[in-house]
Amino acid sequence: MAHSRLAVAALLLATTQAVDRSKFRTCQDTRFCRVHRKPPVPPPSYKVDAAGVALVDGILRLEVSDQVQPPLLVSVAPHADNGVVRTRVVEKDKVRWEAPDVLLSDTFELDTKAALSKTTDKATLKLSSGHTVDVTYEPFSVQLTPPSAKEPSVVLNQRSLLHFERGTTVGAEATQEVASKCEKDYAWDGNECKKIAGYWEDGLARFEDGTKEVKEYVKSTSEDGLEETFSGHTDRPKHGPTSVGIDVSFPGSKAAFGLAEHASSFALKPTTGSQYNEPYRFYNLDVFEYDLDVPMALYGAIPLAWAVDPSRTSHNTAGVFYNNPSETFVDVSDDYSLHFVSESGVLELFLFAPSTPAEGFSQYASLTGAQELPPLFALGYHQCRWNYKDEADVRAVHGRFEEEDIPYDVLWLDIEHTDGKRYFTWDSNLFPDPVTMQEDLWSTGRRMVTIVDPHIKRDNGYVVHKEAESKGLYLKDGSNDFDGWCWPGSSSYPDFTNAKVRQWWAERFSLENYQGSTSSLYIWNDMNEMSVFNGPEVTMHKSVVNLDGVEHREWHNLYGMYFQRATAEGLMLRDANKRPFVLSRSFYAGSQRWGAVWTGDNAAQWSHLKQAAPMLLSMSVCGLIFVGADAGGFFGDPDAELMARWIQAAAYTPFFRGHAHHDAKRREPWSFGQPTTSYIRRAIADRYALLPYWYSVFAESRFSGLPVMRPLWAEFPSDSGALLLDDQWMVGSALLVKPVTEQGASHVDAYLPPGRWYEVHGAAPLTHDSRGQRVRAKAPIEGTAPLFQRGNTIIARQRRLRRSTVAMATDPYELTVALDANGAAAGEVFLDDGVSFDFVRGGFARTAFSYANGKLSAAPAHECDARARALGVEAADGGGFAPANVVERIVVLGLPASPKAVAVAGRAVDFSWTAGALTIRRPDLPMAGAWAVDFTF
Amino acid sequence: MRRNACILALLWVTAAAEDCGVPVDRINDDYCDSPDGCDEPNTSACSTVAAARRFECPDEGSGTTLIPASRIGDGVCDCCDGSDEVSGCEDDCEARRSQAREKEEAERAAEAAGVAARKDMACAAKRGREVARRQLAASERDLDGMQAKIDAAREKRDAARAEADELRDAAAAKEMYRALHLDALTADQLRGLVVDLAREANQGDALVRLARVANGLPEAEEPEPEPEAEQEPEPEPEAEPEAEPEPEPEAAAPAEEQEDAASTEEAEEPFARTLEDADGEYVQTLELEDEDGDDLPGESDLDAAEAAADAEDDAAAADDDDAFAEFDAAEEEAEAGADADAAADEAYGGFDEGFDEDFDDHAYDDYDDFPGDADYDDDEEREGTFADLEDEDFADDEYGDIPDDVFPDEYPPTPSYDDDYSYDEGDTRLALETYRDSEESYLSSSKRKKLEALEDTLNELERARDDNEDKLRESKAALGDADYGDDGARWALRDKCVSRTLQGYLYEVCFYKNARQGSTRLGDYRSTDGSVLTYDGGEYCWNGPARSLIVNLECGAANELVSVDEPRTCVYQAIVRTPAVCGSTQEVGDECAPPPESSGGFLRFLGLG
Repeated sequence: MAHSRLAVAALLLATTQAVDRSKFRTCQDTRFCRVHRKPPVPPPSYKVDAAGVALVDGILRLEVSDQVQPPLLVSVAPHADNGVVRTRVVEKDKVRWEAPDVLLSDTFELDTKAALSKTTDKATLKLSSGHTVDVTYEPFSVQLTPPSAKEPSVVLNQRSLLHFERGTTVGAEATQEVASKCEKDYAWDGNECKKIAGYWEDGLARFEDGTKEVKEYVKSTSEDGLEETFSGHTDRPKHGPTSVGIDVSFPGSKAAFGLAEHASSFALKPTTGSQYNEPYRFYNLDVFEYDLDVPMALYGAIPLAWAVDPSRTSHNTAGVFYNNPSETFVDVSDDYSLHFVSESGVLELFLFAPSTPAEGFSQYASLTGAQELPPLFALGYHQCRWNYKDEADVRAVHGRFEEEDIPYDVLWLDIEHTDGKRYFTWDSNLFPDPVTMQEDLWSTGRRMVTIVDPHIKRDNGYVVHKEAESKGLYLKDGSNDFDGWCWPGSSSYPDFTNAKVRQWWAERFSLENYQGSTSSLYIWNDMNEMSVFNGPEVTMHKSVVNLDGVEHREWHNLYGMYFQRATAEGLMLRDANKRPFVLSRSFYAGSQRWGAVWTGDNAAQWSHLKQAAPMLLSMSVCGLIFVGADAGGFFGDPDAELMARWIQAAAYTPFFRGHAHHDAKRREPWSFGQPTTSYIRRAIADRYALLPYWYSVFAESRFSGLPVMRPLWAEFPSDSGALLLDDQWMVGSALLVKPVTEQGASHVDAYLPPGRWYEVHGAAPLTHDSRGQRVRAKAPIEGTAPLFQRGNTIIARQRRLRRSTVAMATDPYELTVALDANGAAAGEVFLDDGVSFDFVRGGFARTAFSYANGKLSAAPAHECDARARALGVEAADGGGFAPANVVERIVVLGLPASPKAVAVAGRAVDFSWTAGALTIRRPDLPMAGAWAVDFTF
Repeated sequence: MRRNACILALLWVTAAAEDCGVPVDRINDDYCDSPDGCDEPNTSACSTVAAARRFECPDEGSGTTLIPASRIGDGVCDCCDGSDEVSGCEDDCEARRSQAREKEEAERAAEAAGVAARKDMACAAKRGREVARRQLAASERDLDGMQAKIDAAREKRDAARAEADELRDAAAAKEMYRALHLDALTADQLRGLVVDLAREANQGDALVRLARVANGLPEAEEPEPEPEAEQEPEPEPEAEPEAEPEPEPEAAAPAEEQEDAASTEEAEEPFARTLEDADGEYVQTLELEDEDGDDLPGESDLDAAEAAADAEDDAAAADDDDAFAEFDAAEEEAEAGADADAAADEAYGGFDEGFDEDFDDHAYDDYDDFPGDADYDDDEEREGTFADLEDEDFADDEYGDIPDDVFPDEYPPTPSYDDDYSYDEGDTRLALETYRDSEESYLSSSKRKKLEALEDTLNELERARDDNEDKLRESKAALGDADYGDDGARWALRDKCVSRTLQGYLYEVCFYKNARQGSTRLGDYRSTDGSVLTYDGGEYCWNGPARSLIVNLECGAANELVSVDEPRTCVYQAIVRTPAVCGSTQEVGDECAPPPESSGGFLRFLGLG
């Protein structure tokens, strides 16, 4: 019976190089994608029931029908003031499961002033923001047009690809599992069946003799959606076929971005043949040794895309957030229209037509939250390795940083620090006294991070397991706790989709429960896709259910976020007023609220160094701000040049961590000897000097949703020359960085958008007046990544080299004023205690600096705008933080000539003029306060 | 005093300002004016540019401590008196000093003890290695001479042995011919016998051998009449491709099957093959017969056999391999009586005696009838006779009901017959061995004694050579081929191990041998680079590389394993303390030389001096 339905069967042999692609499903292997990617011609046309169209409490409600199946309910809800339109398509008489925790609120403030007008073929909403929403009846589509634009920016269902499978009740028909070559507990080694000793992250069994499984992937799918077999696992959806899909078009757009996470270019590539043949896939997976330039799924999923049309006179950007956490494929057409196909759930799309990219990022942040402001230390350098073996190793690495006088803030411990991969425990031989070890680090202002993964070792002597089992907190496979293989061997996975389980998990992080932890200990969450070594595609099969009985297929892409959230909540439970720091590998839309994310297990290759920026930019425009790639590359051994170049590049990315696989050689900053040590030391020192700027940009992000690492189009949306660049980026709005990612390079050709730029690392700052052109910049390896400060900006540094951020707390600042062609500049600096949530309640100081007409002034800028309040900043104003730091130096770039005198409140101060740069010596002005420096020419 | 200090400080500041090229008031004013940081030695203002350690903490016991400018005023007490922090810190300089003193003293004591021990080790090494060197030289010298002696002795022994073999074979052949009465047959009769035998017998090398003997083909040349042994020079292509160690386990099973198949094939074709190296024409004849199965040889076969026999007769004397000629010679020699060697006479005599006792009474009568019997048509009787000669069971099983009269009562197999000829189940051989007896039966006692003496001498020489080779190896091992340092002090570590339990594992490092972690092999000693020993080729890690170990030797009063680290997966690093690297190279003189070489040494012990 079962086999008669098998439509496609393929037998593929695993290869051992790079990623094993046959291990992962393609669209063709997946019925709901295969069937709906190429819909019937002509497509079933949904029509609106014109009579039923009504505006109720600010929501336009209507029914659509394809004349075959029962009608679907459509709601079109414009949000107040900003032109965001939430559109939902659901079944009329059935409620499907939806994630309750992705959006900040389920009742956003709506545009109650929207006016409805109807004609025979469409309904039109005039929004108070000036946007227009048109719903055409036949065929059904929704169009969002920005104010005074002739053409819509976003169109929903323009290509009539809407489909909505209604499911079916599947009988309890017993179907035959695909015959395994070997008996239970045995696997094929290419020659014979051998007893399985365990599994590895590549999803292959390992044998006692050290060899590994040779896997044959048997795939079969059926056209009826009742059963699908992949890699020996047969999936039968509880509700039958329930896939949904729709298309979104961006008329006139020249490029599209987003859809993180993929190891692809930043600009999305068409997937219908001209570039890729496979759609971008969202199904969070532990992809061992992932490939580059492919649309395969990776660790995280944010179904958000932005389309840009630089030729528009305004509102160059449009976007869509397709909120569906089940497995999803996205086809990108040559005109950048998107076709979303999901296995299950409902259709919920937020349409954006913002006036600027910045506004678009704010709008998205208002839905899923802003990046939580990281504790200051988390912006420093992180030193990680799988694994620092024992306390002596930790002390030796720490000691060498001290000896080499290289700053760092956090030392990390990977899985081997535990007692047999039982998280929250320590290997007592290797780490007999973890508290003293952490205290010793903390005595020089260094923190520690330990890893805590979601797979819990099934060991009755392990208290976490015992509790989770006895309290019934694990995900279920039928009526049993799901039991899969991960690092500890046989493991179960708590149901983090459940609030009670998250609460229980959070309690694990109290100093009492987590023996050996201290308040300077923070957490790393890995393997939360979730990774299951012996499961299909190295994850769980889809019929595992959570404690509410909802199938894994519905919430797969949320698990990683829920896990990171539970951990972050644990740290907040431990220290209520301390901002948590939790690094996660897996993510979904909204993960930014819970901590940092990194790009997983990359490799020590130039290609991976180059790939880091596109991935991080993609995550950044998807609201995931605190992101980084493992500096040096996880797998393999970088040579000295690659290591130095990688550190130089990573120093200008938000999350800055050196990491290495346990088979890799040591690669701490000194491992390559001089002169490499000095190159790396300099790159790290420059990062630390710029931390006041980084921190200010992170605060800006927290208050507005803007990315920290920004694509050029985010700042220059009308510059078509900047549109596609993903090998250079902006840090905030003031700095442009173009790192070296080519072996042997000694210079870079950086694109500078129109305006004035100052090359920062030249012997004297070079001034470029760009018309939108490439500039050749020297990039010797002993320098740092080529960096340009944009005219009309003011940034703050703390120049003094210190061992950690803690040691910088009282240091004075240096301001760099970069004038534009008109001789003007402005900038802001954010200061707070660096660790607490006080800033939310006004415990911060923000100072706005500006220069014009021979006067540099500073003034408190404590006002929080509506955006900040929308993002959870409670207080109207800051000012509740009064730092004593002073400005010890002001550098002004771009003055036509040296002033004759510089005075502060009538007191003359020393200054010098060198190669076009004015340096004011010890003005000793407060960083938080109002003052002015007068220049006499 | 205070005034002097102020003046000194002022002088220092003035000098520093001058050196640095900044005004005096910019020295240590907490603002970095100079590109190299020289104006701020006591503040953190230039910490970015001042990479060198320049802030002086008080003496902590081993000279002034310099700390980087980045540590000044950073909230962490780095100097023992807290002079790097304005806020001040607890002064624990005295405690640190005494701690440092103690540590230093302990290190000094260990170093001194280590240097003394190293001198002893270097001395022991010099002595031990010299002894070993002498022994090695002596062994090498002796070995050269020994080999020549062995070769000479072997030559003599081989000559005596060959002589004895010749005598024995001649005697045996004679005896067999006599027993079979073949010498009484005419050439035609013999030929007929061969053809008939070939027709009647399906297989059986006894038959073939008989045929060969009958035709004067070399029989005595085949001491091992096993068909397999004869086939060796002709490798079968199917059996050929298997190299002994199979690198690919997958290939193992089919390879074994192939081998089985090949050996089966070999086993199935002994008949044809046996003859191949004997005579082409016979091969042809018998192969044809083999192909035809049980069919009688055709006319042409008989003709060919006849022609072959004729050719044989013609060529008998000229044929190099012709054993018949040798037999003739031996017979003539034997019959020459007075001319014959006395020893040969004795041998034949002995042989005759044995023959009479064991054979004559029982079997001879039956045999008597058989070869000379002209009644070739009596198939049954011949079949039975041959079958019985070869194997009683074979006869019963394969030929079914053979009439009793085929095996006359007067031919009862006696126990002595069975014992002597060992006609066990499956034994179809009727070889010259049958007629061979101990050397006593045909060798004179003097010849035997001479042969035995030659054998003994050779054995003794070979034993002596082997012993000497062992000694040579021992000497070489004792000398060692590793780098033991300039003074050779580490030679004394050769057979030493150090061990320690660390992180729950018992680690054991044996110098110049191997290293283990519990029962896991970390590797075998590979090389030395300075004071670093490398071990590699250890057990493979689960999902990782083969383990390896780097041992850093450091000075210590005794051999001691200090630490084992695993900086990356399965790459271990150990620190081992040993006196062998303490101080510098130790000069050792004649006091460490071994006693003067005694003449002879163990060569005399071997009686070969």
